[in-house]
Amino acid sequence: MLGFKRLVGIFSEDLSIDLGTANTLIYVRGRGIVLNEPSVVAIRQDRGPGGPKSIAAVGIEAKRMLGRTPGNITAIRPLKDGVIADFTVTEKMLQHFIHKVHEGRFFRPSPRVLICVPCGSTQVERRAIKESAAGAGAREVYLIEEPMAAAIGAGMPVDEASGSMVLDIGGGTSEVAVISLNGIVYSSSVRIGGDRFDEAIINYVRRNYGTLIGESTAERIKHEIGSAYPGNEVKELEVKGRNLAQGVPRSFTLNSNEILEALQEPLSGIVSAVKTALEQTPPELGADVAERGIVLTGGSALLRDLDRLLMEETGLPVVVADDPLTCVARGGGRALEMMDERGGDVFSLEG
Amino acid sequence: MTETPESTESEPTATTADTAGVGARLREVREHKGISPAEVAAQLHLNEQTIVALEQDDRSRLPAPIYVRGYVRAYARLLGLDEEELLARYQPAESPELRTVGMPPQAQPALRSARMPWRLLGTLVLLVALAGLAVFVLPGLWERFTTAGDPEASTAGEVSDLEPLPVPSGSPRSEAGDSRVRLPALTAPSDPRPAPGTPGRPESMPEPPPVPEPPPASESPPVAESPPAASAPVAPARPEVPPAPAEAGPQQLQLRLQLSQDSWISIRNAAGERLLVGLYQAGSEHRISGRPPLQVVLGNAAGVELTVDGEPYSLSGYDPGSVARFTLE
Repeated sequence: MLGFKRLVGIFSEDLSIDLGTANTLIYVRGRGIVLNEPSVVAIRQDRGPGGPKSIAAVGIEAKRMLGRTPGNITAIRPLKDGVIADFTVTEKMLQHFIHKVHEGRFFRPSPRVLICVPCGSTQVERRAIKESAAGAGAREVYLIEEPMAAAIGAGMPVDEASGSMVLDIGGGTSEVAVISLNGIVYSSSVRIGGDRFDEAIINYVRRNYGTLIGESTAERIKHEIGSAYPGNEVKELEVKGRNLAQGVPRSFTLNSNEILEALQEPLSGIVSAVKTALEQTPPELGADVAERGIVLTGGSALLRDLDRLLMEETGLPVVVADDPLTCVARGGGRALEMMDERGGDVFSLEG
Repeated sequence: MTETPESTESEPTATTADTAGVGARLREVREHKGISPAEVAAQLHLNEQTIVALEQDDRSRLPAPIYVRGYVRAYARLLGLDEEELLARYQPAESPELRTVGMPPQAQPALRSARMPWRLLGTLVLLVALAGLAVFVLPGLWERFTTAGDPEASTAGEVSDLEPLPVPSGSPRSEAGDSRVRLPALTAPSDPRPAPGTPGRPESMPEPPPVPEPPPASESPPVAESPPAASAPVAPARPEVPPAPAEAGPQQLQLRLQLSQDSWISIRNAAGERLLVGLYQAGSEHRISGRPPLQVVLGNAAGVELTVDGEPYSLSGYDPGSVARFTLE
């Protein structure tokens, strides 16, 4: 069976998967990022509770259904805080994505897969990710810690004997790590990310406007007028939500300063994680970090002026990586390539 | 590690050619606005030397490209310049893999059906291979094995309480004896639903004619009619089949089971062959015959009425739902 898998593997490409809470990205060797879809699965259950379950949609389509489903469909996000919350659904989702990447192939795909895991994840959570990838048809599964992949993907000089600090802010977690000589010197993970920003916005709007908005609306607000540092211009956005007192949908206008206020709590969590990391970093490496700066990656790094906030709070230069959303997936792909070029001993990959 | 060789190869040329204007442009705008390098450095939390190196496009004093791009972006923002335009002249931090290939969302395959055909096909191929093995290889082996083991095969004709059936070829006696003797093993459960697979391999595993048991005729097909049809294709292989002389011993027991409730039933004859095994429905009736001792297991003794050679067999000692295990001599 193993030989057979290896044979079939010739027809499958090596994948690097950034299995994120909000988005799943797949990088294929030689083809770049081929898939970038929300980690959402819509499950249809007909004939009442206990009836047969089937997958109604995965990815973008399923995300459109979030919060808008009838009784027999549930749109769920199988990952929470960067780790698997629903094993079976994650496996189905991965299977779907792997097939999508290998579309039109004659053989059933059986690729080597490298998956990024949060550095704060437990053995149990890592094992769940490995098994779910194996269940989705992977021939071999490797794990790499997210900040490492993010640093490689961002193009940081991780192999040098000098400290580089990377802050990867994803949907569910924020990971901060200091890397030197291809290894992680210090890393920590806080369960704050884009999702917490959305929640904070929802709570703020409920408290101050007495109005309930959904997750998708909160995300749209964050993308359009969200910012982490007071800027010169104030942006406004009209939103609609259900007024809790009147019970009917009402529209109202939010501005970017309000959102800044709403985001204070999660942002301060991230800032303090970075400060703790700086405190814990050995002095030589800390000096390197202070000289060159911190690199921001992850989808939430796109929050306006987040680099500015961190720069002011830490007093260090802060740089946002190019295309921060795809850094982790690209870095994983590079790690796979390097593994082939020089054997598996470049990074501390878990095979 | 891969980043460094790449950057050393590609950047010197890129720096001198493309980014030559970037530093000069930054310095020009800064001087125009009357800001000193020290002030810029304080704003960006950088060293003054870094700012100077940036303005002189001196790569040797600057860190990895990713940082430089970040500094240029921040600097441009500080001066109110178009950061994208300036950055476009720099190589991206990691040049090759920034490509994004989109896939149309409507091209999503149905998750369930996606892998079905291959599974199904694989299973079918496997089944066909197994069937081929069963039809072509096993019979030969079986024949060789059995003929070698029982040289006196043809002497088994003594169980002739039923007159041999008229068969077009071969020696009638041995065939008849053989067919009857093997009977319990193959068609033992004289279940109204015959096993569907049996007619499929006639020449090797001789399908015996219907159960040669006494009445009632309603259940088993009439003995007189079927034999010619049933045995005709069977004929060629018959002589080789062993007669299993062990079966030719004492009188067979006739069992009749009537089920008032669903029950698991297992009945084995003296040779350990299964005469009746399975979960049977309430209301069904089964007739079997076999050479004693018969080992009987009734999963739900209270739901079964057993008649042995026409005499009712008492199962009253068992509670409803309890299992009865006994041996009929």
